[in-house]
Amino acid sequence: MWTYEKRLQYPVNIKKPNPKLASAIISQMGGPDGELGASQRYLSQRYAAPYEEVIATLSDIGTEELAHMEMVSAMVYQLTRNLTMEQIKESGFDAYYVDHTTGVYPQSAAGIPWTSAYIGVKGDIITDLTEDMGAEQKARTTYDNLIRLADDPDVLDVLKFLRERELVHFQRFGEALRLTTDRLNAQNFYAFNPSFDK
Amino acid sequence: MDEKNRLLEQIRLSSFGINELNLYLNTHPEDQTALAHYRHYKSMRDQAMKEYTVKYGPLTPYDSADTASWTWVDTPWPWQCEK
Repeated sequence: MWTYEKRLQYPVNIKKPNPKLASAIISQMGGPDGELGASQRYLSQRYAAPYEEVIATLSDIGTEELAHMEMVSAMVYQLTRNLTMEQIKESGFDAYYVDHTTGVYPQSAAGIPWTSAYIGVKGDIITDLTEDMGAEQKARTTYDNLIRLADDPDVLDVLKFLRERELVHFQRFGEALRLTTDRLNAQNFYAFNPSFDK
Repeated sequence: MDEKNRLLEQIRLSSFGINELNLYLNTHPEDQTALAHYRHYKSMRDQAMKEYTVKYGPLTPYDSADTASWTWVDTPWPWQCEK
């Protein structure tokens, strides 16, 4: 079960609207390497995970991703507050506006709606944790790209915080993978699937 | 920074410490130094949460002490802040 805590993990206080930047940042909400996908990937993978440290890691990182989804959504919301029709037309935000006004919809920067095809749940812990490490690096690259696109310090501050979390999660998943292989056949990690074979 | 934001900042800071140690301890459950850090941030958070809730209302729906009206619905919600 989850409890909502009425605060952001890290504060988001953006004063200047920037709809063009919002339509790039929304990718970290509902894009291929975004926070929605991250949360669903880890929170779905944990059921078949075999070891207690790994289950805890997937549960807690999955939960933190929900808080990151909220922060990215807060950025999109604040970047699209009080827009004039002129700003919407000039920035190219009109394509998004026509379908969602200024509601926050989970989609990529290119406008593709979020899909579970972005995530993998293989039911094999080596496979799943290897995907998770890749996923954290892909999210880190996406934040790197967004940091290059942004010039507002209020936005950069939040993007840098989120980028750093990807690195920490990558590290923790690496440790979870090591704890997994430590328990497997040292001659052949793939001799059996600890999530399935008894 | 006003008193409300100062307390909220303490909650954020101590919660972040806990989150970070939570993840670390998941893969290092016997690390005594990390456990000591966890206890430090937990006592900081417990105190700040208690003080904030009494003065400014609940941060979770489990913590309301309301009798006259339900203040959980009050704005601002966290993404609405304008500073």
